[in-house]
Amino acid sequence: MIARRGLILAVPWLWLLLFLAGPLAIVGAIALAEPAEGVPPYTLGLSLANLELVLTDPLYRDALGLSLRVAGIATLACLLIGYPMALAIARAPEAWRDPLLLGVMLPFWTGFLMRLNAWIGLLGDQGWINAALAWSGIGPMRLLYTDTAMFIGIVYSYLPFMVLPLYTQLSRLDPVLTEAASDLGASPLRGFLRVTLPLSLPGIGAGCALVFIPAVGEYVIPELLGGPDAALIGRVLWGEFFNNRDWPTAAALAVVLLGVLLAVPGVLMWAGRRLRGGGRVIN
Amino acid sequence: MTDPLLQISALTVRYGGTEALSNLDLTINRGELFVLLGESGSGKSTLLRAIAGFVPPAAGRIALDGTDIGPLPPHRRPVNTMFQSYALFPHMTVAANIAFGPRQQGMPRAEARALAEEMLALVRLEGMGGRKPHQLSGGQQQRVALARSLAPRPRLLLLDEPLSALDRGLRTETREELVRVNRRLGTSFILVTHDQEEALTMADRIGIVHQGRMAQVGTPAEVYETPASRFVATFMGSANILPGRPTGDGFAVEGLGVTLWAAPGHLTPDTRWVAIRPERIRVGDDPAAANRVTGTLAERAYAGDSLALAVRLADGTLLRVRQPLGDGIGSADRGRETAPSARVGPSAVGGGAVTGDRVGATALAVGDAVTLSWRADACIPLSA
Repeated sequence: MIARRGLILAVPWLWLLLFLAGPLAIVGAIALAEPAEGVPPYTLGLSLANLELVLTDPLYRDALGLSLRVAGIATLACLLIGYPMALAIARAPEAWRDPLLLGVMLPFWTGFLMRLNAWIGLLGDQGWINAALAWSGIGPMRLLYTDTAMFIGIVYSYLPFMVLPLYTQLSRLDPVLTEAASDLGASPLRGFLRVTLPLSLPGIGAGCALVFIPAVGEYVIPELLGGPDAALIGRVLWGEFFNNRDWPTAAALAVVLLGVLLAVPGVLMWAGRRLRGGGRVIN
Repeated sequence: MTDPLLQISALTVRYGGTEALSNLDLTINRGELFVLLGESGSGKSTLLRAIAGFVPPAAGRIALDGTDIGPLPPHRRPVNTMFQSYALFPHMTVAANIAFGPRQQGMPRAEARALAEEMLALVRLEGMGGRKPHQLSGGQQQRVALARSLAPRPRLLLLDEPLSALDRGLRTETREELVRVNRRLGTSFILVTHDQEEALTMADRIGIVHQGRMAQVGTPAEVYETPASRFVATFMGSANILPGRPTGDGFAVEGLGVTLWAAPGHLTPDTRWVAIRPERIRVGDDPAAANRVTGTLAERAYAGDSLALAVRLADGTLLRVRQPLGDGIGSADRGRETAPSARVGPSAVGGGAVTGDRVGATALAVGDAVTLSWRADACIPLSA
């Protein structure tokens, strides 16, 4: 019995070992190595110089700071756009919900790069958006290769990751709770703020994590749509790895990024537990 | 007690193409406990939701204290609902749940907290204010829901099947609790239920909803003793319905060739049926009874406090009879065991003394010939 259970558990453990722990160990080892000429471009060792450089050099610190800021703004934008979408789908008549959800997920059916290339066409100086802006008298203006284009790209790409967990949470919410709030004298806005919003916090947390974490390390969207000065951590890492062939520094950057990303949800969860624990009564 | 609080006139509510309520009139008095009784789908919950403001009426008027509240959204109506599922806010403490309504009315926090404690005392949950709803039992949650819906001091409280989620023992206790709170606060209650026993024991007046209309409104005794229609007669308790036509003070039952005698003046020319409650029929020949029929016992079921019998009459009509077992079946069964030869035979039952009914009925077996008798006032004339 125990042997059989061990056998079943071996499958996920093997998977984690091969594809998570293994690569992580390799990256960790390279981060502690010395840069060198040759193939591979490092000699193994136990040097903390790379990590120290990454943590102290303003170039890397700024890149990390910028990435966190961009990801934060993009996450907030996704939340502000995605929440009403998720709420509308959750409150839509039953027959409408699946088609609407499908509409949110449909873009995934085509390739990510193809969709970004479509945005290049749309945002370009001769693109449809500028044509519309020119026609209405507001534009034309430079959009492509600016921060605006980058944010549009990130928000567009990650929006479904915000909508889906929010929808899941909101659709599980008993509509009679909203009715009860209204019955007890709460206006629709008050009812939303006091009942719907607090009860959807787990969905907000999940959605924000799903958008924020990959957005911090995002490389492709800033590269394709953003300006050259948008030195996000993903681009810096790419540069160190492919242009400078400085594998140890790139690996050290990856380790620091991972550490920061692990810290963010950790702190959030700790805060959440503290917050929930406040109302608990021991009987 | 005719001080009208809520006046509903010609209310019609449509869902899609179907009419959930059609042209319904109802008046609720101040301070009364009014029970809306009906089958599922009868429209009773729709009526409650229309009063609360959750469903818009297609036509008609809902006036509270003379003011038309029809155009007001739910949060502007001085009416509160106690929901069937309680709908307690799971992320708030019990006290915060109760204080929610008063807070929306602008009551200061400290005052609302004090009121919450007061309401908790009213429903006998002192000291539970700091708990979350999921830490309470079903019965406790039910009382919190009651306290929460009463805290904003509504002029009218709507209760949607408030007892349906409780188990039987707790339900009886909670019934008394609701009546006590209603009397103490003087708030009018409209309670929706499909449980007729609940309706009879709690209500000042009962309204029976059938197919989107009020089938009858009256005190429990009025509704039970003088039902307005065959539907009400069979829905409130059970009844044997016999079709026929009136002949003066008598009523000729179709097919049976028997004339029944009702209380003088009760039968009207348009009486088309007579209803007889099973518990008002006696097994045996009661000399004081105006009506008697004979038949054979077709079914016999023991129900603890009574015996449920079905007697087939000559034309095939099945009469349901309920015989109370005030002394329990034990003595009768013992009698049967110790004296099998003394078993009451068909003829003995027919001529048995009234005082011997219970033992006689208990000893009956399926197939035995039986005489049934009932008094004139047990015949309820029906014309619809």
